[in-house]
Amino acid sequence: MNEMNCRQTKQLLHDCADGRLTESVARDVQRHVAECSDCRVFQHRDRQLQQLLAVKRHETPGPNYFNNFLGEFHQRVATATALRRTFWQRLSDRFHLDPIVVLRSSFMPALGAAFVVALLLRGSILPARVEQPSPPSLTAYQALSLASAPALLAAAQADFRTPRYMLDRITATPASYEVASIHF
Amino acid sequence: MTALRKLAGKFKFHADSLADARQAEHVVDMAEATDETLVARVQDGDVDAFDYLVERYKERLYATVYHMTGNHADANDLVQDAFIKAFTSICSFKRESSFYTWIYRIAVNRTLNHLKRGKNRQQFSLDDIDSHIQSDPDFVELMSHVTPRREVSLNELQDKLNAALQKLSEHHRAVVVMHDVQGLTHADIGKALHCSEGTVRSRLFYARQQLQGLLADYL
Repeated sequence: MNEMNCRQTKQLLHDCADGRLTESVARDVQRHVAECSDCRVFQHRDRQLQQLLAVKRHETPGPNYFNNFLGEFHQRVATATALRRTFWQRLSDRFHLDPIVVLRSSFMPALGAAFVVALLLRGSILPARVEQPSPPSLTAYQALSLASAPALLAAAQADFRTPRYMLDRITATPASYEVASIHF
Repeated sequence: MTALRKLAGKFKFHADSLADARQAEHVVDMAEATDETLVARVQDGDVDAFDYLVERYKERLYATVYHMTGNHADANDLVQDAFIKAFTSICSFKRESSFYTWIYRIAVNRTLNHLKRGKNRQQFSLDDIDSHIQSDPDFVELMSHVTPRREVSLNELQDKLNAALQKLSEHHRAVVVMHDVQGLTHADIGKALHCSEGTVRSRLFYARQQLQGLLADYL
């Protein structure tokens, strides 16, 4: 048997022992183990390893270990929940304030106080309101533009003068210096 | 007047005993309720129902985590954390798997993360083998072999075994604990560790090979 078959056999030993292999595959594994001393040693050691690991099943933390497990769980949940609460929630917890009761009992006085404070601020701190001239209406603008239109037109005409430099008039047949040189 | 007081007292006694009886009935109902019922109750706002789930699974989860970490303090912290995580996110639990599979996965993932961070305290408790081990056929057969094991004490054997397990990588240790110690199937281990059955088999094979080498003197 080659190394590959040994490896396959070793991997299938547990399934073979648990009866999870088909009949033909199980027969192949058993035949290989019967013929291969290396795999036989491996199988023997593996069996002993399983027995050794059985010791782990009997490791227990002691008879009273779990007595306070649930209490500790509640405590940890309370701590985790407390850490998630906002500053205001923690403040209300600190002073034993029920937010709904507080809201019901103090809503109207708080509203009145806020109103009074607003009045006081408006009267004493804020400066007196200065009346600003209102912008002219659209019709007034229109009237103004219509009235001043001829004067603006005259001013524009007065500003229009003949330009200092003018381009030569472009003739229908442009002058050709090459043709002229031929005549000379 | 005295007669009236006696009558009122009798009624109160009956009311109290009726309330106690109802309470006891409620406790029995909750203790016998299925996981699905308890989870549904917690999701509906009855947070006390979660206590029954904690009571039901604390020891099984603890055993798994303890075998992976190797010490009680870490195991306790990690199992508590797993239950808190499950409690705070139970509304997102869609009941597509069983509650145990879900919380088992949480606990194992937290333990693996803990081990990867290298925060393991590495202290073994060697005096906590229960008395049932003497009647375990595997253990009896193990100790009956004519090998150096005969001379070693149970504590020494446990010490060597734990030391060998701690030398495995986290994932190899996890599959050995789940399969060879706790008896989970390859499929269940694959679900818990988010890997295929083939990966589980392969890890198991390499872990056993490594353990055979590490414990060669005792096999």
